[in-house]
Amino acid sequence: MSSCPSPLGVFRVGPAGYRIELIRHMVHRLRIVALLALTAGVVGACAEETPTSLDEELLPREPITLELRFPWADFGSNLAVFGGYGSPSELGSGVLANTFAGSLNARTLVRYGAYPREVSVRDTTGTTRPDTLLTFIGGRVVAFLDTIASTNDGPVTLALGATQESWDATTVTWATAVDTINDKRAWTVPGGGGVTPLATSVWDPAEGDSVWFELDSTMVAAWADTTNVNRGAIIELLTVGPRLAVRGTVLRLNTRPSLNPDSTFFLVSPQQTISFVYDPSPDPPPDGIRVGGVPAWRTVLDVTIPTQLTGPAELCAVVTCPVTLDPVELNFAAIVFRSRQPDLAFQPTDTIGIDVRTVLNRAILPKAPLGSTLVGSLGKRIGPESFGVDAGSEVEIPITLFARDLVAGEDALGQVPTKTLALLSVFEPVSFSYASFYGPGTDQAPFLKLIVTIGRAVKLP
Amino acid sequence: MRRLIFAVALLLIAAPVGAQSIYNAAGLGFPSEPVDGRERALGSFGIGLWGSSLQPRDPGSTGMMVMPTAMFVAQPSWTTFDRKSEETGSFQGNRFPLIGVTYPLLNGMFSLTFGSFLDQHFDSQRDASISLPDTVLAATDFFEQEGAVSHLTVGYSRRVLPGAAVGINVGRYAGSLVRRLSRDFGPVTGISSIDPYQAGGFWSYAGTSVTGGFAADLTSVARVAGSVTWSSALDANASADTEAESGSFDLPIQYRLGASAVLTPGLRIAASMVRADWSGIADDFTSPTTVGGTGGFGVGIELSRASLLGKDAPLRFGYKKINLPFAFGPTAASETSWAGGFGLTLSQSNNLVLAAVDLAVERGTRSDSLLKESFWRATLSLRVSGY
Repeated sequence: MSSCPSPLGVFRVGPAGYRIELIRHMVHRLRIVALLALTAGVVGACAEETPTSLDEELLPREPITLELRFPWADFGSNLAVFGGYGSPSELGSGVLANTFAGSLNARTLVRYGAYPREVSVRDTTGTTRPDTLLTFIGGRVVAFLDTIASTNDGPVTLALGATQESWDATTVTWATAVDTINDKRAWTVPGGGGVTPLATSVWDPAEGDSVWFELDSTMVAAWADTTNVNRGAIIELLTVGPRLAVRGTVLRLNTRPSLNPDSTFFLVSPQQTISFVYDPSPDPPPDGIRVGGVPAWRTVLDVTIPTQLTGPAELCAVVTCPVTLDPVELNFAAIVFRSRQPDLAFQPTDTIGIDVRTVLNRAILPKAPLGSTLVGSLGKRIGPESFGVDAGSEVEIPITLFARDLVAGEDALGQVPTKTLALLSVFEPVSFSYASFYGPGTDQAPFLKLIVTIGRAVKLP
Repeated sequence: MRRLIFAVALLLIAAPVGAQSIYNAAGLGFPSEPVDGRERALGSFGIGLWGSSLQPRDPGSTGMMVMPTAMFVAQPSWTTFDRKSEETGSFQGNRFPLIGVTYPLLNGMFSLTFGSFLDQHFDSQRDASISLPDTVLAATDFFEQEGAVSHLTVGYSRRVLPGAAVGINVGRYAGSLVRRLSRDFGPVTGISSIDPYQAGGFWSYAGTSVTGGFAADLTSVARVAGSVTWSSALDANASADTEAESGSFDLPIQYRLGASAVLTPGLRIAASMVRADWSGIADDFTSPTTVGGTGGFGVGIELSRASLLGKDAPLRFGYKKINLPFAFGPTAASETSWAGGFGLTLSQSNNLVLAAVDLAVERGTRSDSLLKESFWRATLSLRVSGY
């Protein structure tokens, strides 16, 4: 028997002694392991709560929060209005007007797709079979009207005609039928060219939201040829005064199948495209701000955020003036516009959304790329009354993130931020009407509103 | 085993240092003594106790150790407070006041400890009403202070006589402080959302300390030990993006004296005291702060023959009183506590304790003329030797 040193002391080395000491050694280790685990568990299970008191004397001195307003000359420059974004065909709806607001005339143009070529028919024996020998014996164009956006209260008379000249849905205007690259053709008669009258109908909004025009087989057959670029329907308002909004149309075909000639089926030809033309087109505003419409208007302006604050007195009582504004001290920034009643023909009849985006390269306007929205996907919502009975009301467009980048001199990516903003409708185009605001040259020019919080530096105790 | 101890130590170091007191907000914070469960139970300031002791404030006793030792200490606490009878509340948290190791080398004992010194965690808030031309905003100011000063020491101690040892520690103060004031405007009606305001700063602490001490066994029934800690100024260096300036705080010389004795074969007593004059730091604060001298004493007894499950489990009781260096009111704050606890020897060989755990539970109060706190504080420490 011998002995050997161990960190735990000296123990005997022998068959029995070794086994006993080994067991004791293991029990000892297990106790320590259990204790370590218990200690870590107990400590880890305890919740941490920072000592918190509401004693105001334990806080640094209160910062000051102020609202500062700057006139246009102190923050804005280079305001410009651009038009021509989008076309009426992108709206997916139409407009009808006859001397609305004393001047506006508008007509809706529609083109339908190919007629159905086959229909399942139950023959005289009662068996349902496909029938491709269809005879169109007539039809009707049904127009669906927006009773809210339309301005008439009583019945109005509408007329349906067939276009006789080729026209391009995406470029058609009151004056031109086609205005594509290297191909510009005016209507022979402004407003749709020569038109073949097809039918008239009376729409009374008290009876429903749709109006229809009956067609005979000749008229239906004339629109069956989809290669005919002249084909198309034009809807016109004959009653002088109102403005109507057309949500869409459909061509319903009265069809007689060969397998069951005694029956009449109603098939639908889808509306391929819808557009509208109007006159007169609004001129660019010489001293105002315009957003929306169709084709859409945008207003672009350069913004500078004042960073050297010399007042007011309550600010200078807290910090030494002039004080340099730090980005984190800018809590809120907005450009406040005052709404203006536009030309009555284009006055909004529904809430509109205005978007604000940065212009990434002003030099290539009006086709400059835009940055992400500053006001969210719905935009700044403005009710129609702001452009009517409440014209002159203040509309606040928040630009806090943009303003902070300008104050910091760099954006989130570390690049020099653009100072140019674009005001535009949330979607272009989104409505026939547009928003209008007073511009810099007026006594109701936009102003910059800043809410800043400025305090003394947080020092050591 | 070493890997396990190391892993647990890392786990505890990585855990957040919790808060102990609203006095964290006073001056440089609340002083946090790096003592273990045995010393807490005996009302000791960590000096002059019998047996093995690894304490950064008692380098002399470290020289009396005969085996390498590792120790860590955990300290949960539960506190209620009453501020001028206007506000009451409670909070709880954990701290890890001390982690240390010793190892015999060059005929002496090297030590490395990482301990707490000042705790500064604190939150507060106030309501603000802001009048703007078109509306009145309701805002809330939040103030957060996250920080602590820790103390890292490296020491060497050795016996100079069969019953006497001396030692010296060189320490480095470290840590950081974040002070952040934010104003939150919450949901605002009639105006788009308003971004919160935030201001603050970050400072990192640096400083040096030297502690010299002795320990002497007077015959076999008594031990006496003393130490003196000198500290350089505690520099608080502001980060580059901190608007406020850096600072420097004078730390006092700390004197500690402790003794313990065997009265009867099963009864031991201990007493210790500490003294430090913090008055020199008053001019270093940017705002007026009540600064007092830290003077305190503690006494305790141990019933050393108690046992639990066949293992030695000495019972301990103690009382301690100490003045706090910083207070809210015009008069100094103080802390008093009664303690009870026990030790449990997990393993020993030839009268040498190889593994032991010590638990102390304290009930105490802290108060000045504006704030009173009552607390329960538990201290659990584990010593492992001979690894």
